[in-house]
Amino acid sequence: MNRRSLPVRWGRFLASGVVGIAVWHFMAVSVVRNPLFLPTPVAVLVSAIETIRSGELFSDFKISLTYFAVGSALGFAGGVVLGVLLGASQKIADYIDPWVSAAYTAPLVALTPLLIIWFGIGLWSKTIIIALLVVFPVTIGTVAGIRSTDRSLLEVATSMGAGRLDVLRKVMVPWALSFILSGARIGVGRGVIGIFVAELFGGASKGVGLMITNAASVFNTPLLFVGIIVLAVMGVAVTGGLRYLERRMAPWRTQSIV
Amino acid sequence: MSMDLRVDGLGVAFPRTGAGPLTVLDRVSFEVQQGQFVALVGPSGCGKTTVLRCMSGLQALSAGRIAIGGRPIAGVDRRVAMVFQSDSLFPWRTVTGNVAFGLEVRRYAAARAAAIVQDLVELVGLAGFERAYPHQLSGGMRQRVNLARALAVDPEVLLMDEPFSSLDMLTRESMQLELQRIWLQRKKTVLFVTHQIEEAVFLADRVLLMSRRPGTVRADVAVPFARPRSTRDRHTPEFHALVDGLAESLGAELADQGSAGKPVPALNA
Repeated sequence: MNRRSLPVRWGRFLASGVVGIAVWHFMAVSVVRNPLFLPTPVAVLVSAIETIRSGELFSDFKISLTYFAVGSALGFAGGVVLGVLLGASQKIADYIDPWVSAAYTAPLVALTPLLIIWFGIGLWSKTIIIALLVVFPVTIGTVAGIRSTDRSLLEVATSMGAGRLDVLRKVMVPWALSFILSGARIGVGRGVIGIFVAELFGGASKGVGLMITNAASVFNTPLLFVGIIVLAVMGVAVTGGLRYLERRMAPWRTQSIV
Repeated sequence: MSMDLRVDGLGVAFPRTGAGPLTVLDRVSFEVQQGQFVALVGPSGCGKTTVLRCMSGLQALSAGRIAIGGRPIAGVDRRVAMVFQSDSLFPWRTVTGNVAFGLEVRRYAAARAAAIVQDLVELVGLAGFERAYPHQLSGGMRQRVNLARALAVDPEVLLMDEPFSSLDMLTRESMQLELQRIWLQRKKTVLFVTHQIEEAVFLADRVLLMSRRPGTVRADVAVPFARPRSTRDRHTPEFHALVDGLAESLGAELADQGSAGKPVPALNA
């Protein structure tokens, strides 16, 4: 990895953003030339300012953020617990592994209508679909971390007289932390998709996902873009926060795992 | 009561698929008096490390017994502590946290553990680095932490498995002096595995020479030099004579392809 100073790297991020928006503008104005298909960045910005002024964006965002926060927290906690169990015990892993693999690859969003029948159209059905999308990447990351624990560290602990629980708490879980956070980063991406799907099928009355759906149905393309960008920015912010956390909590690892 | 270490007919064999068991150690017997520093040298793959692993409970014995002060060691034993080869520190723990590990898992009271830890951090010369993480330390400093971590649990016998093998020569020699200083203060029984004869002679009261696999103790050589030994002692003719004699025996051991039982050249110990 390039170890240039931060200002240089921030400069690159900025340049990438500027060029990206310029290309977008060029495409909209010179190639597509139909604001219904592709609005200009300026049109999207104007639309964003409008929805922010009306207070609509904020109230929608608050709802979506609540679903996302509760769902992700549930998924993360569940993933860590499940991952630790699977990583620590081969016996449990033999029983549960196939189910985790199946659930990770299965299109769980398809369960949304069913979850709404089970849990109603309120907060729970939406948070549960998000939690289901987050839980398995975290589980898989945790298991990978626990199982990759350095053998010599395990031997140090064992030879000092550490019991199974101490080995787990004081060696395996701290070792696995980076892997857990990597799993969480993948989970966050899936969770953002979960917001949209949950609100789309979930009979939501508010939310960014619903805003996107409504905008699409009336061909308000700029507003559709505003919704997507809001969700993307949220995803990037959370992912960046997790990356920061990983660097702070595992400074001995020179590079992120994912 | 004396806490002599006694190894009696120690044998270790690993099962193999498609062949008979692989005998790694065969009837290894020796005694180490309480407070003595004994080095274990031998060709690579002779099972030196396996001897230590048996004592620390990481390797099951196939035969024989190990006892400290007459009481046998079975499995992980609180009376021994091991200094592992480099990079076996917990990277998420500070110097203090690493040294405290054994005390934590043995459920020492926090205040008592903190006092022991501080004492040891100072003993190994890391005062001022208490809050540093392993990745911020040099190789030599990491081995100081490693040593302090093992000493913290106050073992009867300290096992050291090539602790300086990954250090450069200058650091290595200064760490040998440091180890001698610390050992003279704490007077632990030490069993030190190395493949460097010079290191063994400089540090130890006795050098045990092991044979090729299956490993067994071929020679037991006393090192008569007074302590504390200094770098100057490395350059005396007596020192060289002892190192050369051992090197010759080790060379004979390496050349001795498969004909176990052939006598090694006599050593004037």
